[in-house]
Amino acid sequence: MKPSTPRTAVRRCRRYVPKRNLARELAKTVVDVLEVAQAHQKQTRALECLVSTESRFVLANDVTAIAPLVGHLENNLTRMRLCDETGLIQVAVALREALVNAVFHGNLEVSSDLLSTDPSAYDALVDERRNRSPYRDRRVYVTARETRTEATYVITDEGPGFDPTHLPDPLDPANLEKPSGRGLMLIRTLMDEVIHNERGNQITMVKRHDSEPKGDDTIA
Amino acid sequence: MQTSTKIDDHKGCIMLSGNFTFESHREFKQATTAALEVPGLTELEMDFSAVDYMDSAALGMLLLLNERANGRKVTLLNCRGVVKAVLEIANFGKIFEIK
Repeated sequence: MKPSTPRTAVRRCRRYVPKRNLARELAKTVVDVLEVAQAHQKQTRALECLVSTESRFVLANDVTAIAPLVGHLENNLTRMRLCDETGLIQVAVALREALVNAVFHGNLEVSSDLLSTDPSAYDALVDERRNRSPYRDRRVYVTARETRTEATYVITDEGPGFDPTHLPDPLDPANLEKPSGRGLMLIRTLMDEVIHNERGNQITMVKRHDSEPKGDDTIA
Repeated sequence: MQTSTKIDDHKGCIMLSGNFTFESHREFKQATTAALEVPGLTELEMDFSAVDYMDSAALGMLLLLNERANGRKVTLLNCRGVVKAVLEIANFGKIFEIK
């Protein structure tokens, strides 16, 4: 909502208050609208002073939770004015890829090769593992830290982990037409720094202010 | 994601709309299989004008489509925003004609 002066508030309220009740309800409605607008302005002022945030999330293996979480983290980034629209999209794509990897490849231990060769078997295996121990009890842990200069996302699953050094390079001409293995390539290209832990069940992704993606990739 | 298909003589065009992600594989496979079964089809266009987002699994689906096309030309049309960026990062210009 744009800042409201008493005059603009009256103009707005006249649109919504029925004419027959104008005399009785206009004043009260104007006060209500001004209060809401002032609260919004105060919040905006307070958020201008915000210099860092840290939030933690725990996700079950529910893919429908991914988009709302990514949207929430995008809002945090917008508040920090860390990157432009393109940067926001880059972070959103990387987050989504990392979260999908954590749920399907990490916790449920389902290979993307199966999605390529037999999508029905892939769906059946996902459904079955979502309801079977130990897969169903596993969670994805997300820590997001945003400052004015960088955002760091740590995503941990409870699967056995993988060795990121043994993934084929999808840009190698020999692998260009292989249908899987591109999620990490996207993450590495879109984020400024990507670190995997030794076990291979945790990825840390960093996006820095006003920087071009470098595709740096290391193992802790 | 939703699809709609037009076949015009030897050319087919599949219009995709919504988010093209790993959850789209069933719809994508049905639409592309039906189009590739049309006798005499020599070219298949995939129209991305109504696609807002695509992920790495969608890249895999496009590669499998190219394999199933078995020499028939597959063209990616009207790619923009995230779709265009993802295709560029994956170097798909070397495999598909992207317009």
